[in-house]
Amino acid sequence: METLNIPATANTPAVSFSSEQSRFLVTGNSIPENANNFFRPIMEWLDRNLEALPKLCTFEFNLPYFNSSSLKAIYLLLMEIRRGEAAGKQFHIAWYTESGDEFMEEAAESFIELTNMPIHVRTGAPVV
Amino acid sequence: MNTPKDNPEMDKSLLDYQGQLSSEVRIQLISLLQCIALCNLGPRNDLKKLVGVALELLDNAQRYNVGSDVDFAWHIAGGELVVRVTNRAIGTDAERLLKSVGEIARMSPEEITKAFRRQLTEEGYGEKGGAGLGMLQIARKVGNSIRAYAEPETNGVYLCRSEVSAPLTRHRA
Repeated sequence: METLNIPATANTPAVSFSSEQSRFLVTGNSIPENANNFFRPIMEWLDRNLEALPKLCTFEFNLPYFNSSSLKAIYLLLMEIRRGEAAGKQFHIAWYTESGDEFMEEAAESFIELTNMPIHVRTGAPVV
Repeated sequence: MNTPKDNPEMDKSLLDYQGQLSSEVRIQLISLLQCIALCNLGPRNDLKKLVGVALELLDNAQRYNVGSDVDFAWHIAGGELVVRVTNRAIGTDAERLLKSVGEIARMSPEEITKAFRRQLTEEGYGEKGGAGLGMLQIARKVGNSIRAYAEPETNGVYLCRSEVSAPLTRHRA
């Protein structure tokens, strides 16, 4: 499987996949001017590697801030993950929020409703 | 005498910026706004939503601005947080801004949610990287109080102003 390890910048999140942990992690603010340019290679990676991903892979999202351009990209990413589930994978999706943060909590609610996927909302931050 | 901490909704200017709007400036402005919001409005569950309004307007201004400086203002007036961004744009982008804000102004909350879902799930990205969701997202999050103006200048350039008023009377943490 191809490696995926994109470090965070001031306006884009870190994105990585650990085959040892079967863990796909997106963490950090996502406020690029053009989220499509940033997320397209990640979408392409997921598309190329979806079948090879472990059956019990975890996808973790920790996005304290994101703009609406990124919101669309994250939605598309989740729909790609759903495609994997439809093909028989049992992915686990975790969405991290800060305690009492309406922005992150409402984002999780929106994605659950829009994707019709079981997204598990957790308070705190993922172990990096 | 009331201090800002005693009465965080007193009328005041929280931030005025006039200058070039690069990605770096936009990122730094957002960080500064988070700090200003926390200091002046106190802990609230909706702080990021309020800063998010500015983020969307600044995104649009950076994406569609042509050449010159941008004006950004973040004020409290009449118990509302008022965010105002002025930039210059070509005619087609100015028209799209007015059309989008005009359509949203006529929508009910349910129609806004429906339009947001449609735009998110069915439409692609624009040529300049916009998802067409910014104004709909603002209307969903802080209410339908978006205003937009565009005045023609020279050489097909328009002076565009977007303004959002978000109520501050709820969401204390």
